[in-house]
Amino acid sequence: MVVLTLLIPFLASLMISLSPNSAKYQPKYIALFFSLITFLFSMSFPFIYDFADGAYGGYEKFVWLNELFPFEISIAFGVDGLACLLVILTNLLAISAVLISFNIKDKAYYTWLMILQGSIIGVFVSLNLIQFFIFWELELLPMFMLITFWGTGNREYSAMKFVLYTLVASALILTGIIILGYETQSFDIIQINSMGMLVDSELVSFAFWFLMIGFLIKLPIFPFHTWLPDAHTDAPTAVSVMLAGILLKMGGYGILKIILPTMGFLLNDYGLLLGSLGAFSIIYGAIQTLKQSDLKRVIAFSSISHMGFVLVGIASNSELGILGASLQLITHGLISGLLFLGVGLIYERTNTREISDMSGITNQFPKITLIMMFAGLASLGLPGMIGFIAEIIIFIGSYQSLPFVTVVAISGVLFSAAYMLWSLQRIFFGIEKNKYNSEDINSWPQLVSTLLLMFPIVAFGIYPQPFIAIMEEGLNFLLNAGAIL
Amino acid sequence: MSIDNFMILLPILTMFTGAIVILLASMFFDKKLMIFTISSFYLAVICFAILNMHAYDSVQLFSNTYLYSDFGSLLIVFFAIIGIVCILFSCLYYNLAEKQLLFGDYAAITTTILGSAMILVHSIDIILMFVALETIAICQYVLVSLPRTRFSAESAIKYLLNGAIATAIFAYGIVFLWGATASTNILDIGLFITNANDSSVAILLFSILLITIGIAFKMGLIPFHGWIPDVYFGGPINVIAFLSTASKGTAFIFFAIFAMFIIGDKPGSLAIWWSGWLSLIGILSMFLGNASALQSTNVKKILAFSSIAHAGYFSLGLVTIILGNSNGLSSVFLYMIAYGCANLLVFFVVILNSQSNNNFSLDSFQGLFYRNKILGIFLTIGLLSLTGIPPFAGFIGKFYLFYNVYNPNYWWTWFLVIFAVLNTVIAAGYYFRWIKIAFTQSNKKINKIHYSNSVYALLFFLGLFTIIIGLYPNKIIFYSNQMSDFLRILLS
Repeated sequence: MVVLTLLIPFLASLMISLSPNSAKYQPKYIALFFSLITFLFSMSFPFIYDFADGAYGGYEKFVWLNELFPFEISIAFGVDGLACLLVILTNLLAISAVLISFNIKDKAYYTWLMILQGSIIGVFVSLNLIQFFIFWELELLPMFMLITFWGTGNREYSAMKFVLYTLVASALILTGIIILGYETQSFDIIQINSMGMLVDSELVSFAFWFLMIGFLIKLPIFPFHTWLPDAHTDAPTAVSVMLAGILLKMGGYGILKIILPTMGFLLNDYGLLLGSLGAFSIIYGAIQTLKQSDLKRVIAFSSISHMGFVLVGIASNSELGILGASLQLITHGLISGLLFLGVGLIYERTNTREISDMSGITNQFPKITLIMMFAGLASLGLPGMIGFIAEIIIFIGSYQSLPFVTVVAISGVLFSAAYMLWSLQRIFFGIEKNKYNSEDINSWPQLVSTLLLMFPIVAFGIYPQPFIAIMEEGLNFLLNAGAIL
Repeated sequence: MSIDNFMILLPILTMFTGAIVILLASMFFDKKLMIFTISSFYLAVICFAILNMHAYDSVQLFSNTYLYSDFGSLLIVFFAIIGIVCILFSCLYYNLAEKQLLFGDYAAITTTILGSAMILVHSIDIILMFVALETIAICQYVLVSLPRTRFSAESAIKYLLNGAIATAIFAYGIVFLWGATASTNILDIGLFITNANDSSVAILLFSILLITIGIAFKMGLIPFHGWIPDVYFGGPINVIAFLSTASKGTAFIFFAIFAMFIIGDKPGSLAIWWSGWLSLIGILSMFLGNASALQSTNVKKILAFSSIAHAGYFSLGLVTIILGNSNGLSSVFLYMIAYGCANLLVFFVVILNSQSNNNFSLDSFQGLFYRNKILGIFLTIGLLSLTGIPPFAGFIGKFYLFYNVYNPNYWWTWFLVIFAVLNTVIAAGYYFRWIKIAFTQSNKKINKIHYSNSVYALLFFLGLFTIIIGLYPNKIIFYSNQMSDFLRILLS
């Protein structure tokens, strides 16, 4: 089932690129059909697989390279609770991304979008480091193409910047993976995780930092974040949704899946440093949002701020902190996805992203206002919505080991309330400046794409138990490896 | 010469017979017949080599100057495939450019080069090595001057003069090697070096330094790369495609085998010095090659500098061999195949794109994808493979190389890995720029271009090979590991 879920998007991309040019086979319907199927498949994971005690569902293993290295390398697929939720999130956002781009007719666009979806799923279901890295790199090309050719503004620059930053990250991760391979004599993630902690040595701390910086670039955290606002600003809406919703989560997933089970003990030494970096990132991102005049940049910086919470949670190296961080990956995926959908809808109607030009558009677009208000409130962590759950768990978890950092991080919540409400006020309320001759949401694809994300935000915000239960089971591999203190 | 010896030599003899027959045939045969003749010769060579691979074990021939091995046969197959692909493609190229007369010359000289390359990789005697290397070099000078234009004549002269100096240095090196060890047989030299005491290391070092410089020139490593941009820029492009793949590959694999024999698996102080120079040269080549390529806007120059940068990666592979890693040879070989396929793919697309207007600027690629989708896709595959993006061969080649470069006994090999990995990022700058240009729609009216199916078949073959090697490199590694194991037994 897992392998099938991975293969369907690639199959879809092939079918789209080969489909005849006629009104009957519009690429958007093919893309929608296949993304629905992948979503349904992935939704079945929690029901058909048992994730108890860190078990992997749908585990498949094929021998791949047996001559190259002193040890055998297999292709292995499987999902645990963490990966399962991320795959579901990927597929959910993919449906939204297809729906929101229903007015694009290019075959190539949907082909790349499907390849993007497939390669991201590949990252989450890979249980071999080389295979993980292959999918990690594969995601680069569709992103590059989508931003370069369907983006807006200074898109070529942004796409190149994105590629180069990601490649630097990949270079560091590759070096880290090579060290891990030498230290453990294996590239099999399950096998490496079952070995427990590596022996502390200079080389291992090198590997720790290579991998950590590589993943932090992707997350992104303060000094490595500059690619994100550019990429977001110039990307088409659907790509922004995917970028904020899932691509950033790959960094967090890498830290949880690769660094913590093998080198988690180094967090005793570097936890404070990383936690402070995370806290700084929270405050820095929040302050930056206040300065931005471009709506997409506001949300991009808010993403940086929110990803800081993930790092704080992980750096605390406590069970609750890490649980909260992994929950934050999912919740931020949903919320920022929704925010970018909203921005895309506004941009489509007003043709501007300048906040100062919008002012008072609530009279013209009441439905969009509702969506954006909803997403904004979720983003600032309003209780009753999913964002609140993740953040509160992080704070409870991290307070014990990193009290000072946690206090700083909590002040970030205050900031996020400030910038979110202020931005919403400036966009939607106030004096009406311009009259746009376009209507509020009136087509089903746009409505459905937003409702798809709004539903889980409320549902799991009110009753988070099933969601947290899967995640807790998913993090058992860390407990088994002795990563969490 | 017994019948077995004859059988073992048959692929190489076929190559040289083929060269003569092709040269004569080009005077009488028309194009279709020529292609048939050439293809049948190369096919015969491949068949003979594969048959030998199953029939014979490793053996030394001709008073220990020639070492037959399965790995050698594999190399013969590889060279023959590269050769036939290059020749068939050039056939189309000359057809397009209406210079049919030259095709026979090109095919004959290329065949001679490949035949000599096959001898070179089998030779275990420095005299035989020198002869084979020189045959290759002289043929290359002729090849560059083939179109008899001003540019190519200039390039050929530059190449000749630089090459002559390199040859002299190389010859000087092997003379010292002979002087120090009193043998021309590499196996004996290797044994001598393994048992050498410190007093004789100085002269060995000196000779190895000279030999390294001589071969570094042929590989195009900085600071011995001066000829590459000129020759690439001035020479005929189908010749450059061949030079940058087959003859570079020959130099690498020769150097790899040479280093393996000299060092064995017990690296001493000689190995540390030697690997030190090579790492330095390699780092310089990677960095300066990539940095220069970033600034170029002419695709010929970009390919020239990228080939210098790739030579840098190769030299890291050589460092692993010199430091005694048993997988070093396999990693160099795998990288060579990956690089060869991708490089040829890119060169062929460049030839096809530029054949009408002889315009090699990067802008001439604008909207290539919309003019001809197949060319666009294959260019992308080639460039991604050169960058090292999975699932193409370039990725697995680079990964395996970098994995082996790290040697736990020598801490500084870490810096080589980091440096090499970061250089792939720099390289991505210009490869991705190229891809972007190929996918950017130009404002001008699009003239769709079409080529014959045989052109597409060749491109398809190379592209498929790039993907297959990327996904399943097991068999190649199996043979090359067998070779290194065998050598280790021979040396101990």
